[in-house]
Amino acid sequence: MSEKQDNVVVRFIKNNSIWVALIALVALVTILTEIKTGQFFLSLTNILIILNTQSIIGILTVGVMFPILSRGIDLSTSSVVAVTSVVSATLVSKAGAAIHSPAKPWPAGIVVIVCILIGCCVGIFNGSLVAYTKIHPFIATLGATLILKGIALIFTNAAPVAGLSKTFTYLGGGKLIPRVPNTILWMILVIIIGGFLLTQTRFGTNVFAIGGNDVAAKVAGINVERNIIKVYMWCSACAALGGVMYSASTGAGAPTAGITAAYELDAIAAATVGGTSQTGGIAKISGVICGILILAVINNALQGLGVSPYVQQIIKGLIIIIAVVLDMRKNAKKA
Amino acid sequence: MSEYILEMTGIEKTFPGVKALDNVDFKLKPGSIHGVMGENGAGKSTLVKCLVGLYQRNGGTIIYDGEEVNFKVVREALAAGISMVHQELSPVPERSVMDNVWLGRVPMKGIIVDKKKMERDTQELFDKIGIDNIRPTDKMKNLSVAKMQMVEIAKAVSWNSKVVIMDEPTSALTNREVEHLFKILRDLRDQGVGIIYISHKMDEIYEICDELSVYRDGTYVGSYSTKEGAPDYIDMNGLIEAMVGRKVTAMFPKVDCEIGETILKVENLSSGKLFRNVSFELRRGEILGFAGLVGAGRTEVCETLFGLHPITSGHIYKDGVEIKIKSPEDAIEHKLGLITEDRRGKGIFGLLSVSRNVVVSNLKKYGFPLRHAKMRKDSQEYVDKLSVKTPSLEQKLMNLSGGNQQKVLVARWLLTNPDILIVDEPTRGIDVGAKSEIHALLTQLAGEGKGIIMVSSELPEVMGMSDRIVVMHEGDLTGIIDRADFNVPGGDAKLLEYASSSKKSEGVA
Repeated sequence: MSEKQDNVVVRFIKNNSIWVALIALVALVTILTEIKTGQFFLSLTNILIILNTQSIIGILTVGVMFPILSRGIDLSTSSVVAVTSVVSATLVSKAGAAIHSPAKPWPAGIVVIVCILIGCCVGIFNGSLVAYTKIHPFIATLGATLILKGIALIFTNAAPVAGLSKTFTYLGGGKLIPRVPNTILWMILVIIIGGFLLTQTRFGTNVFAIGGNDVAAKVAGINVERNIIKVYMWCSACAALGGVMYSASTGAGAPTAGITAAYELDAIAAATVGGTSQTGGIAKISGVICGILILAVINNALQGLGVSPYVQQIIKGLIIIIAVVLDMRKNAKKA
Repeated sequence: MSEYILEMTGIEKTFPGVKALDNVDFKLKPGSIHGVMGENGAGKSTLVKCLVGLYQRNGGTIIYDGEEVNFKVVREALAAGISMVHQELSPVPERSVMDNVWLGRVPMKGIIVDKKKMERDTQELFDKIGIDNIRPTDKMKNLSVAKMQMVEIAKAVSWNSKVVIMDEPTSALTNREVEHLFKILRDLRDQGVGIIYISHKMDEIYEICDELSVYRDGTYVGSYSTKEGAPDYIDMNGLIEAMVGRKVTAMFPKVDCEIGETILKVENLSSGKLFRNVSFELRRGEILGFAGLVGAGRTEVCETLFGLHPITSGHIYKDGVEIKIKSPEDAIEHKLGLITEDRRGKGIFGLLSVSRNVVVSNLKKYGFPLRHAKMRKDSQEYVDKLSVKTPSLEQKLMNLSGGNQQKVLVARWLLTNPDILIVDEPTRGIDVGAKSEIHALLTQLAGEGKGIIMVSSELPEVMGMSDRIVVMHEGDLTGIIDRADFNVPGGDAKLLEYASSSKKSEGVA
């Protein structure tokens, strides 16, 4: 490249603006926390808390970045969390043991696989609607959201499912590495797989192409429909894992898991703040990691600083809008 | 007062990594039509965008109507009397013609829009510039592209413009529509308006322009007259040389290739209402041209062969074996390639890198996980082979010029190594240099024993390049003409006859 007018530092900041924003945010928050509470924001304990609370949303974010990249959206992730949370919890509780022979809770590994398969089915449903009926993904996944919400409530009679097996709760709450809750490891695993899919596989390349120009993608010989279905399968599978993690880390399945806190919106926000373009065709896994961290830091810091939950919402909303505006301006300049 | 309405001198414009304009001049007299010529990437569009305030220049002065100006936004330029008709129109389709003309500045009567005045003003405007086939109350979406363009021109004139910029105005027009457009432009000129006319079409430039300025690689080459006998007259060959910077020897480097056995046979192919009962054969080493007017169904035939429209009846045989094509995947499987007419809409991935654009149809080749090194190596090979001008393989394709984007598309299909390559308007909107390179490439591919189907609306191109020409009219195949029959003086008359009438020639079953 022959860019010469900017010096190295300026160019670095321009190309990594989102990371610079994260660092600035962390610096600001560290100072504020120090002044207000006298506690060190960047202590290992606090970092682990931040990551742990955000890990399920992080998993959802890596999932939902794919539909967004393909110029779609998936609103149903939190409902998938709810369904898989209650299904997994039921299978590893007394109720699950009753339909297992011999009568004991289902093995944790099998439960994870079952839930991911449920996620895949939801994805096939969403993806087929989007790919073949050309319903706008917003509407298609909105429909799925309501259906799944209903299923989760009926399945449990709207009551939480408790009494989960130890092996299962270890998946989320256990610590394979001392002090590090396992959900964080799951999030890292999902990020690695997501990044791999995005950059190292035919599928990922196809999704970039479809998001950028779906007609051209078709002409180029890409099976657009099949890839769209895969996109939503991946997204819902991630959400399903998120649901399992919810039950495994909290020790109970909840039919409103993820729904009351609107995980799906936080995930979309994190992906967007991380530079995944709503107009399709632009995404980076490093950006999405950064987006997850930015939202995590905001959530944690606002709480730590004692900001009221209502005000938190307002601040989060503003930050998301600002991030997207800045990002769009950046992309518009490049065009 | 100077004799010029507009004087741009020493204009500089840099984009990150590129100097788009380097000390460029442009001078326009009132009451003249001034052609702006140059290859893609020469800086023509950048120059006019600097003028109207779409871009901010880095240096140079613009003197308009005797005063130095510096437009920050398009509206300022419009208010001052400089308007631009863009290549790509952006009408509001659901609104009326008059709404479109007065968009953003509708006449008011108190707080109510004065529809009567709006209609009257629009009609006056149309009368003034000789538009007689559009009513102010017509809905925009019901107009043809040509009429929409005329509305755009009317809109430009409605600002009482002293300078009107036309960017490639004829690329989507038929010959008759072009004539009407030219009449309007001449009328405007005679009313004292200075017109800046950007185009790639040589014959047009000579027909409509009084003067022209040539640009190359962001620099100013010179200004000339198009009137024979004038001291600074430049002929077409001289103009091409000025634009390209070297002599372009043959416009259509047609080499007679050995014509082999039939590779593709199409029998009574129909696709719904798009076209009916089209039959033809394509042989190895042959370039089969497709001619016809806009709406003849040529593009639709190509797209159907490539699986983009459903086949409602008929058969396709490749190497004597019937094949079924339901999707582009099937077509690629059977070793067909298609370069679409609509490059931006159906061809390129603007946001993706040059390298990705080259390999996208061939990803199977690169395994799991993708072998990036091999992808880069292959794309580099074809980028070099086709001399695509790009700063790097990682450059986003949208930052390349049209000609280079087209070459990247050619590279994509060469990488799949097709037996049959279908090219639809392969040189539309491409400068002469890249054009002759693409022609040479098609000839070379035919020489390698591939079958080429080439749709083109430019008669010289289709007649210069084809071994045989299929002519279509409103969804029917009206004739197939051999090179011996059209490559003679007056050969184009026969072609036009087939193209404009549904009368079938004797040779067609």
